[in-house]
Amino acid sequence: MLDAIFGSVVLALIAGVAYAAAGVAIRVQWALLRGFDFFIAVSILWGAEVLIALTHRVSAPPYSLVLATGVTLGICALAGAVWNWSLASFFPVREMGGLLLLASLGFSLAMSGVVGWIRGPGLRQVVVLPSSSLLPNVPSSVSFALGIGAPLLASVFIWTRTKSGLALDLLAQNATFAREIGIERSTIAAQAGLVAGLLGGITGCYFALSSGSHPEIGLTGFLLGAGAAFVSTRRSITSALPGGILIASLQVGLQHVLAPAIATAIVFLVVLSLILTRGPDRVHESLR
Amino acid sequence: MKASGKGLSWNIMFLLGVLTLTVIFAAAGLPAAWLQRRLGLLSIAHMAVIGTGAYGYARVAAAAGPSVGVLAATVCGCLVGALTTSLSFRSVGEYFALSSFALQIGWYTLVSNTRALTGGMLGLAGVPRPPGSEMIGSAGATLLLLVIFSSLWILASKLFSRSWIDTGFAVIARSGELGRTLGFPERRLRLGGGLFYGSLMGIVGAATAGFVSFVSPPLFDTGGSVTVLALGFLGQRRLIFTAIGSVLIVGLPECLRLTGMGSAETAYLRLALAGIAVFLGSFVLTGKAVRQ
Repeated sequence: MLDAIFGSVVLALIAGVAYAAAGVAIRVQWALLRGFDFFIAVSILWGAEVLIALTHRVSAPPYSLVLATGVTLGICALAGAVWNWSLASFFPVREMGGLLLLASLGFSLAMSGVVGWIRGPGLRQVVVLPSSSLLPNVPSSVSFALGIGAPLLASVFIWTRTKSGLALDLLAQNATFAREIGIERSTIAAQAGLVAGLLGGITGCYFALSSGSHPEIGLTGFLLGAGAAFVSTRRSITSALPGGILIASLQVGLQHVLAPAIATAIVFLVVLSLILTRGPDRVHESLR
Repeated sequence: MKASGKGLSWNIMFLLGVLTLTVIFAAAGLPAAWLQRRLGLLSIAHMAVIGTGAYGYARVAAAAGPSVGVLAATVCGCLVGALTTSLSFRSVGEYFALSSFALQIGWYTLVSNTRALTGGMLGLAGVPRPPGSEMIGSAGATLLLLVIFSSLWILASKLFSRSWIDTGFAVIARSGELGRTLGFPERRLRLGGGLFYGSLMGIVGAATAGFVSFVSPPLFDTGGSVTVLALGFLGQRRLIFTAIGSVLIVGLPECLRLTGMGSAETAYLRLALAGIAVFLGSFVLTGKAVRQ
């Protein structure tokens, strides 16, 4: 009984960290661009698919998985930096919002289509599964949790203590004040993109390593991340962290009493109600 | 000689099927374009509305005949259409788009898992063909159904455009508060718009179910929703662009199946093209409207 509870808690923590990563990435982009950026869905998709493709190429001991994850996260981070740099260079912030949503959604769906076209439909998983623990005398699930959680916590910790991180957090909390004291989003756009791409990549790697990936995984991950980002009414970027844990705990808890798919449907409905309740509050706040 | 004759006949049947599918998507693009242009709502839940109409048709047509099935599909479409636009009571702009996306994902997951009513992932087979199929064939009856109802729907939308209702739509699309201040019943207008939008979507659902003679969740996934969104997006300025877009995004990839491409690959190619259309369209076609 205790083992089952411990297993569920670890499962919820792992999934929660992954959803939180997507939630923080959404908040980072929101703070910078003032709109929903579906590029996070692209980085989730790339994170999952690149990792799977890499592990299919190299079949080797577990440390190759760490190497492949590192390469994947590097690609996602670089792509995020390029994406943000292009957006900040070519479009003033007042033109964002709907335009950003549509352009990034179109890009994300085109990517889903291209990935599906190249690799075909259905679920794919990594070749080297994290079944054997990398750390001696540590259960594989805990090792997995550390592997997913450590890069997220490290990047968020470092980010929130750098000059760029503090500037972005201020932009998120009060954009007008941030502009008044001379914070220009173009100067931090690339760094923010780097962090957002990395975090999206972490979520993608989680999906690849746990349930597997399919061409629509980016959109599903984005929605769960949006739920994590909306749980808290605080505007701070890191407030998506507890949101992710809450959403995942709800999902894991419901899966104990209902069929997994029904539990997931309920989680999506909760996310929907969060968007409906939090969305107008934010619009009104920004109007004020 | 006989084999070549059979091949020719098969090719004609295939092209007729592609044409029907293209018209189905073009017809779905009409209400999508109307919803974006009139109510300023960018929905990603189009397939939830079409799918509900299709399931409604499949269930009722099997019990009471295709004509009653079309009526049931219209009612189902209207209800889910109204549900979709009712999301705009609390969320507008990109929040509406995101909440409609959540609705689409939630609908798909729910339909895939309620086996007793929808047949689960396997869906329902043996759906009756549309009314008139015994006389002009399944594709002909589907095309006729869509042409008649799309024309009636366009006519009705033209009639709306001359009434105070259209003014109300234009005002609440800009600002709900402004609409209420000027005395327009904002919620009723949004619900009414949803009913009108859902009516043709439901019929499109019935046409789809009757034409392919089965319904299953993958027919109504997010990819399909985005294809309809892209077509609606193209048709915001002129409805003819919806038809042209449908030929390019739906018809051409389907024709590539003649080269041996699988149906799943075709669907992904369609999704990629729709994504590119939305991406480019957001910059090129409707810059001003999107910002609004």
